[in-house]
Amino acid sequence: MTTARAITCPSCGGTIEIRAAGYTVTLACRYCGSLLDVAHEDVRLITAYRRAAKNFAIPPGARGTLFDVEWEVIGALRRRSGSALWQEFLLFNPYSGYRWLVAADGEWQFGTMLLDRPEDDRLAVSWRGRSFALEDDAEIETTTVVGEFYWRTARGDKVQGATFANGREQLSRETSADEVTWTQLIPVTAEWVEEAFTVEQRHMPRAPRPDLTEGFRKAPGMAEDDLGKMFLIALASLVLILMVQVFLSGPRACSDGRATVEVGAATSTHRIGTIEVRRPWQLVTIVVDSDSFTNRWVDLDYSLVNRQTQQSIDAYGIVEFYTGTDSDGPWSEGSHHAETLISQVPRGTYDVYVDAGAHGWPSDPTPGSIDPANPWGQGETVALWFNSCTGGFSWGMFWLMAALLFSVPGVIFWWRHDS
Amino acid sequence: MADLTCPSCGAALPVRDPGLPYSTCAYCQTLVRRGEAGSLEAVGTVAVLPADVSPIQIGTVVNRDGIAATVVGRVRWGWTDGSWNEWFLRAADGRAFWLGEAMGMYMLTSEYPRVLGVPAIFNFVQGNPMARDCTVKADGKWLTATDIKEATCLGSEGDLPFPTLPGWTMTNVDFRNAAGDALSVQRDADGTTAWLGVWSNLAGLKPANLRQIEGWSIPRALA
Amino acid sequence: MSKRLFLFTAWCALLVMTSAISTWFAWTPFSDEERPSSSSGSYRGPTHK
Repeated sequence: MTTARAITCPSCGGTIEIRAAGYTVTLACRYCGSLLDVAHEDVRLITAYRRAAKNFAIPPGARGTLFDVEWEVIGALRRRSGSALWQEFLLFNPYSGYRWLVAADGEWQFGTMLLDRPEDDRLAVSWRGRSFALEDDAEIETTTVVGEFYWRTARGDKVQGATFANGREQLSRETSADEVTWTQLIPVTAEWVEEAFTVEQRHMPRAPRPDLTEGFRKAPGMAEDDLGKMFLIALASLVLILMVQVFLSGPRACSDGRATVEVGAATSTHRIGTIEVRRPWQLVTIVVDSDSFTNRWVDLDYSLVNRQTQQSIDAYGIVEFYTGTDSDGPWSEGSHHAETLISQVPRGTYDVYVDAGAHGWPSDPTPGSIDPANPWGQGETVALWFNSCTGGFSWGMFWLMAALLFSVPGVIFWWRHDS
Repeated sequence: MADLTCPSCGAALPVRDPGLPYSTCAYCQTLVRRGEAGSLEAVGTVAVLPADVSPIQIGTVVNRDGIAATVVGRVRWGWTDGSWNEWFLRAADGRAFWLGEAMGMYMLTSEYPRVLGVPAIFNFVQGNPMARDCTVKADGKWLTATDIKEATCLGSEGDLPFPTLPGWTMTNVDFRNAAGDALSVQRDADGTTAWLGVWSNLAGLKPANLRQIEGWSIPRALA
Repeated sequence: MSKRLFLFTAWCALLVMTSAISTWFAWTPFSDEERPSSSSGSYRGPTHK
């Protein structure tokens, strides 16, 4: 009788040796990560995956000696509870059975499953004459699985995990639908683990950042998963901001105007409308559309002149459109449409003027030259249609608010998925 | 007693426990029934045991409460979510033990027929299902049924009290308590037996003559 | 509701208020009264590379 049992992965065809033959029930293929049922002679595929989980602090298959016993890492799990992330390694020795090595927050624990169970109480348990106080009770989710296990496991498995502590020693109780398991966890130093195993430091779960937000993230009652709610609140607030911006900016009153500008000529002034601001302060939006020129730009200097005070508010706009060909092929840039937003316009009636100057790119058409196609023409012109309105919508303000709203849950999300 | 030979292949068939009726030939997997008058009868062929890394082998000796017991046979059971070994042991004082292996832990039990009269278990003996979380008292200890399995024989070796042919099934109920006590009630075609003992790790059994597993050395504490 | 969620909701409410007040007074830091400094020269043309 041989001790090794080799199987062929039904998903990727790779040959996998079962390290704890006779005990192992579930195996995650080390080539493709597919979850296999190896409880019986015929290997069955539970879930197919394309890529095996990597980046564990200790790779499965590693051997090391702890407490005078040689252990082989036969399985590894990545688990999370709220914002806490950690890795668990299943150790096996055929003579000594199974143990756990848990890496969390840069610290290590050595776990032994208990045969004699603690006397249960809600807030404390007693075990072998000592009392352990409840420290934490939360749902634990397994996010990644690699290697082999003596029970049925899969990504996404959820159990209720409670931790009881006496000094630095802990008892962990995990309750699933079928059973309750108790594990004793004792701290072991990182140096000791590193002496036994080659530990990939860059794949260790991150130690908590010693920053001001630490207390905010880890304070009692804050570990719960409220991230989804945060995103919803942020979204609702953004919709509210959108509505406020639209409805508080009115009333809207518009005026149309038109101007024709000669390319290369000096700037010319045109009156393009009259608008009346009826609230103490309003935004004013001026939209301009031009005819379809190429390789020209038109500078637009707007002035809102108050009829009573003759005071002027100035703003600026441009329409520009260029085309060309380079090594990447033809390109075009710019638009025949532009919007100008003027803020804090006080109550009053305004005449809207524009100083417009059109120019050619890369240079203005030579003044006085005669276009052979249009020898009696007055030179090339650009036609512009203006629409000036009271009210407006500041997209800059909207996106600033969106960034400020979503940055908080976004940063929390990034922290959680960082390691 | 002189060793016998397999009626099927003629290989030597060592008698490890004359009190047991069935023996599996290590060479041809023939299941042999030993009659009372020394007769031998081939009753079928046993499945080859699947590979495993159990540290127990036939001839392993365990100690419990000062009594040494020797492994004489093994049956492997399979159920929907896995499989496990049960080793049959005979102690120097003639007592029989089962050593069950699960999750790298061991359940060492000796026969305790008195509990079969307890109503909840008597009901089970009569062929009715056992309720999970059923609590019984055995030898002054309260134990709760935690695990009920329908198991099929996957193979055997050595000497055993029942025929381990393919298709042999049993219903196994494990009871346990917080102190680590264990009660196992097994019902098969021959009837129901009850076994009471403890959960232990391997070191707690103070074992000798462990199997040498390729690629592993026996830890100093056990050697 | 956790303290964290409460603080975040308060933050959202503050931003909605800020937005309402700035809209009422027609104030925005993203208006076009000032010419971008890069366009002070007479030549502009495409920024295409």
